[in-house]
Amino acid sequence: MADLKRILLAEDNPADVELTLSALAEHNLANEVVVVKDGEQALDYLYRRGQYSMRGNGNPAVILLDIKMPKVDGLAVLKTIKEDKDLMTIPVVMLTSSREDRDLAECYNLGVNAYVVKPVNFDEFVAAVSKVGLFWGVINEPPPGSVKKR
Amino acid sequence: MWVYDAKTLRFLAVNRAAVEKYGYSREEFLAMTIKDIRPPEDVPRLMENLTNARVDFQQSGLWRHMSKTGEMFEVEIVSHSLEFDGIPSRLVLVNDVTRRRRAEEAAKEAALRYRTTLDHMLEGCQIIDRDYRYVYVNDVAARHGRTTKGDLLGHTMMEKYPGIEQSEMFHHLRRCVEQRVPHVMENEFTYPDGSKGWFQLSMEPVPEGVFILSSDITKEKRQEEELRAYREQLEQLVKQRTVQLEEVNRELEAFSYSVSHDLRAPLRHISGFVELLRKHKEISLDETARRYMDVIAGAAVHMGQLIDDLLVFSRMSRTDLLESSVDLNGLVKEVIADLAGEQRDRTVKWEVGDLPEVNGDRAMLRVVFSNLLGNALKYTRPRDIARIEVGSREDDFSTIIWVKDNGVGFDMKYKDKLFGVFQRLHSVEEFEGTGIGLATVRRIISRHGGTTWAEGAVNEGATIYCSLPENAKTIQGNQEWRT
Repeated sequence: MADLKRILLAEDNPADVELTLSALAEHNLANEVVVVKDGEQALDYLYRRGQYSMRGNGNPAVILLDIKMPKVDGLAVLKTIKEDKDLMTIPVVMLTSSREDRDLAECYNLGVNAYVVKPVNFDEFVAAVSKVGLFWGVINEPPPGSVKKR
Repeated sequence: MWVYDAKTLRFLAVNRAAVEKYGYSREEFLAMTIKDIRPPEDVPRLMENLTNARVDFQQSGLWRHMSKTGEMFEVEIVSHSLEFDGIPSRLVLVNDVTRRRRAEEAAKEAALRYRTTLDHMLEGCQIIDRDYRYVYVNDVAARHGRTTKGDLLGHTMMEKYPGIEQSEMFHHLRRCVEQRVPHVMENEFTYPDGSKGWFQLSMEPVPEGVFILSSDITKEKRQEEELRAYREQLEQLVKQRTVQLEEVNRELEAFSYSVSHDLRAPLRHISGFVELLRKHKEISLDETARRYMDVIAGAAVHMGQLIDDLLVFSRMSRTDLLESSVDLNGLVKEVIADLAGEQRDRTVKWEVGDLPEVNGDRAMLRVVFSNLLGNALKYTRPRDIARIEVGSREDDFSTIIWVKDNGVGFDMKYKDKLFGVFQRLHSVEEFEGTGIGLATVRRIISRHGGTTWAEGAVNEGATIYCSLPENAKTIQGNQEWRT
């Protein structure tokens, strides 16, 4: 597998994946997304292990992380990324249903770059996710070593 | 002082002091013998004393003499031999010791009385001499030692209680004997049979050695120990309960966390996919189908609101209060600004009085005013001019704050329903809402130690009151004080 894309989306729920992709499609970013189903796969992708051992060099321009995922949760993935000097510069955006203070506090303590609560209302959801995709995937200039814009 | 004939015992010469003391004239004296100045019953002893070895100088001790008037007094006699006009005789010096003897007797009596007092005291009394020998023990002290006076008197403590030198008590006793330092202590005494008793000991240095006063406090000590055991048990129980409570709290938190995360996801999917369906090119929807979809989407949004409100309610119940001084004027201003969206295209007259500073959790009090002012705006929507008043007054024990509106009001017979969770007095078509707002207000105010109540009438507006207890009020008064 050699897919190398600008956005890494870690999300276990297929319905959420579909909604997120359709929101990102607003800015034609749906094809710029690699989807992983849990934290373990996210780390495999970043470290080029397991099924991603053959992927090309470079880091995604942004990682969209759900908090609650099977095996390794989003907080653990965030912690691993921010403690690794090769990965710590990748912008990480939490994309979650939780607006609990302790999740917010912990994510910021771990060095998250943004925290977005997924709105229940679809229009608001589309607006939020597409803005996140537009800003971090297009407007923001990612750190050196990230996948380049086409 | 006189001189008498050693053979005939006749007075040969007397001095003036003797004349004055005994009341006989010199002539009368010279006609008498030394037998005549004492009670007849003492004469045999005198004769015996005279027949005994005569030495030149003699202290012959105590004697009873009698004056002419029959007054008896005790005298100490010193005599020695001499020749008086060629006659072998003795010179006698007489010293009246009556007064001294009386004083001695009084002292003896006092000592006896003191002993008797000690004997009958309720505390144990012992006197230990400087060799730690029992020189005095009363009955109570003997009983404390589970022995008899006779068993102790004349013996040393070490003989009676081998090993006692190693005890802490003995250490203090030694200090009292050697350095004359008094000491009071509670001592657990172990009897030779291994049983134990508690005594309060007071050691006081006295001329003979040390006086020890002892009270049996075994019963008090036992009670004290029982009490301590009870207290420890109670503390243990409280600790246990606290742990259980903390566990319940944690579970509750885990529950609401999971509610917050997991219940919202399916709602998002419902509303998301309804929208996707609506936008799908290959489906043409008629009016009815579009309305159904609106209902589905609306229901999802409403349920999302319910979940959010429930979470706030539960958070207000379980998070700790962060108390500080809160300026209600500023807080109300902020909340009114936040509610700008609800005031658009409406005429709202705010009448906000001068509100006090109170002690409380600012974030929670903000939720209170958000709900109260939000409700007031909502239920005045049918009015051309909405009037909303925020006021306060102080009573003896608390600060009372109210929010009054000229809205649709409510029937007083439902006033208790107003503050219940999920309790609503209007349909969703009339006024949207989840029925959790006032329940949250009541919970927050009660966590601040206050109460909530409502007044109103149908179509005549409503007033919601909150009281905050006096101690939740600021130190505003104190600040005035300082300036």
